[in-house]
Amino acid sequence: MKVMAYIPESSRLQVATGAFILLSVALLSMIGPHLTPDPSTQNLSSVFADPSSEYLLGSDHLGRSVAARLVRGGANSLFNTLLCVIGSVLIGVFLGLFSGWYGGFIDATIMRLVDITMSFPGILLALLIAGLIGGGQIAVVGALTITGWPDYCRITRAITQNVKSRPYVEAGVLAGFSGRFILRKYIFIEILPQIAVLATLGFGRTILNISSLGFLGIGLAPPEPEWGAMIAESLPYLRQSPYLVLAPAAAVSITVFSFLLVGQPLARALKK
Amino acid sequence: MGEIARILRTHLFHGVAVGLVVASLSFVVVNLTRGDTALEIAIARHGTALTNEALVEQIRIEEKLDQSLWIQYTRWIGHAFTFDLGRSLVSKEKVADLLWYHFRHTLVLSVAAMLISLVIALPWGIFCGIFPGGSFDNISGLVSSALVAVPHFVTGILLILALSIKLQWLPVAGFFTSRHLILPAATLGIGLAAFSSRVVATAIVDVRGALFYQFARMKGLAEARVLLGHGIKNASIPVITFIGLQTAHLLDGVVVVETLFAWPGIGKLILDSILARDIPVVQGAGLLIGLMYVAVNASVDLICIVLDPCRRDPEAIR
Amino acid sequence: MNEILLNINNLSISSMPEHKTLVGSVSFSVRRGEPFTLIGETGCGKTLIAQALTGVLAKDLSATGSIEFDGPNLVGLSGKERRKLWGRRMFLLPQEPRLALNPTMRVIKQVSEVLRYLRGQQPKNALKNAGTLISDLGMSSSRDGRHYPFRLSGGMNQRILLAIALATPAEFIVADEPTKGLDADLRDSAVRLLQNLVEQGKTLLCITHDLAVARDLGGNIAVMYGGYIVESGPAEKVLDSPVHPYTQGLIKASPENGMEPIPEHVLSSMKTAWNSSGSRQMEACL
Repeated sequence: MKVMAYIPESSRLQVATGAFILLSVALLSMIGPHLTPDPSTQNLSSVFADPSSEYLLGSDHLGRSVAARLVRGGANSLFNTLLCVIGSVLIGVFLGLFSGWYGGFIDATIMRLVDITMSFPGILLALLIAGLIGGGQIAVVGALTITGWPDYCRITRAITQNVKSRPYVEAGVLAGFSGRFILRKYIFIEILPQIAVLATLGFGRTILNISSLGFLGIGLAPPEPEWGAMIAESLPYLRQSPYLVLAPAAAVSITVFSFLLVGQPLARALKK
Repeated sequence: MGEIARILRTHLFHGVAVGLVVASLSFVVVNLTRGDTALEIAIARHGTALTNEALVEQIRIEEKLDQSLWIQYTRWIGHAFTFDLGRSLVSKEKVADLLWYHFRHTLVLSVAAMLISLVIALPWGIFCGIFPGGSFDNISGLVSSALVAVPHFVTGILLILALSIKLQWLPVAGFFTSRHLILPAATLGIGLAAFSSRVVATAIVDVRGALFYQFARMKGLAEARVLLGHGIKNASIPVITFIGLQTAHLLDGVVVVETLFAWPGIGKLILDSILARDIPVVQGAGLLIGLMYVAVNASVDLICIVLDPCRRDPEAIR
Repeated sequence: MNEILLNINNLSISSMPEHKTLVGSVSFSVRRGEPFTLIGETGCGKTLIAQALTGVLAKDLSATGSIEFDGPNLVGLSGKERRKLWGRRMFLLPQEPRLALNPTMRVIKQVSEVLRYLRGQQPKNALKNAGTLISDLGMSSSRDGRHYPFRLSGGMNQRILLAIALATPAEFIVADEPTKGLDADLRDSAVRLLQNLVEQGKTLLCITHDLAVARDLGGNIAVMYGGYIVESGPAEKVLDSPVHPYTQGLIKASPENGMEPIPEHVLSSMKTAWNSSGSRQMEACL
């Protein structure tokens, strides 16, 4: 594969492992919900059940299937994360292009905005927005999108400025090539790999933030499962069945870890 | 000392911006979205059973919630400038007192976490930096990625499971003795150490590759002397800068960890106030966080100025 | 006491996996207390020789032959044994003074720490003596000495490096391109500083591409090209009546003599001579 050529030999195994886990997680959360029972169905006669053919990974304090909640929670988390990352990338790249291409007052304003956003604790802002609105998917995704864009904006701005100052691009501008042509021909090609790597790492961070918000009780409406919220729900039963907490905890950690496994060597390779 | 003034000005700007954004946002959002604030306060104060129409109206007039939103907002801003943050809508305590009480706890927790993270990250990072690319360094890279990937609340839960439930060494939650501090501080500290050990390692690698470092060896100084005299100070500059950049990240962790361990700090106060729609408290806490942000970043910059003579007058670099 | 301090015999340096010869079979000797200049164009291998004899050769390069330094052979010495020589017996003056000095330490301390840790002086005395060394080189110890390297000019930083060289007990100093990037005035003062080193009883190996520096320093010189020494002897003799066509070309190519390019047939004749003599390769230098 072409991508693999850029990765140093020593970390190829690491990237491949990470990618494999990510694919498995994605597949499980796409197919899993169709194979498991409804994650919200309570069965108070079989709470804290051990793993069986009916409850693949046992049941929680309300007799709901842990396996079903885990895969459904994964699907929810991944989907919301995807929305956040797409939103952040769109906002970031758009503002970054503007900032880098036009410079001057527009640039100064956008960079101030970046500074302020970056100095803001992301979870706290999300808490504020989501908590006051009353939680829910839109609040969480919106809040994390608002706090997530500055990284993409900064890299896009830097590349745009760099490309713009190259002699052949300056010549192109003088020769009357349209801005859109230059954008497509020179800038996007350079931005794409950088953004892809940042987005990989951003994916991991966003999953962490979403699960933190879920843990704090701000996220999807209650019966709908989510990894962070599952941990919070099962926390009172930590002593009797730590497993109920550890399963979603492992799911979050392994997923985020895999994003780092893939993203970090790529980021290092791009820096060189 | 124009440089110091410039630094303070920049950070003050950011801090006030953060504070005002929190304050304004909480005000706008709460008033534009759901429900009747007076009703919610009544429920929060007296419980659902005792709440009736008359009580709600009484609270509305008491708290001046019947006035226009614009007046309410400008009144709060005006008071804020005279350091009068108002009273909590729920407990009726002075917001300033509430903030001070919770801020103390957050301060203790953060300082303890910072110390723990330094105790872990410094030796770990320095060792990796001295033997880069070795198997210990490679494994350390994976371990710190893994620690970064584990959410704070999971680290905390694992520590509770191991130290409180299995070994019964430490209390699970609360804030009565210094023993209660260990678990939350360790949780935050481990997360911080995972990041900073890598930054320390990179800084050490960079400094050891620098020409002046090799020259110090050529001078005939012993390796330890070279590391102490020429390595540590230069390597600490990027590390401290990094810690400054991580302030926002640290505050995120504080909210989660305080909630998990029922530690009565600013993070828990904010979460509870948001859930109870106690706007004056949220606004006050927002301002306080802005101030904390200014304080941390300004002191990081000042430390860097002390460490790095080039930054004392940036004109002279050229 | 042996009159010859450094005796290099058949030293060759090659890159490791490819076995490409970068320096081939070089021999010369340096007499105690005298300057010796190794002269040649960029890429002729002179810096590699300096690195080989101070022991800072890159990991993928290996040296064979012998470097006898006051008796024992240095080739194949372990890093630890090398470290024992640094600062105590030999010292390398690096090319770029500003990068070689610690940016966050006052320059006077960078001089005094040598006196303190290598000569065992008390901190206060070390600082005082470092000040004397700095002012002896024409700088103010109280004003310039208290500055950090970024506040001093390149020439001043170089003086600090020389003060450090004087502060060390090392008797053998290798100066790598001490006049690189300096204008005529600064170059003259740099040469004077190097002469000062010799006057203080140090043995100097100067590596340069500048014929004027070689002439001013005096002593013996060796002219290098493509990894080999083409001619050597007392400076005046070699520079005034060169025997080898390359040396003649090099002298004519210097700015004072009209910068006439070295004739192509001289270079190509040397190339064929070396290629026919076996495995010697000089692509790296050409």
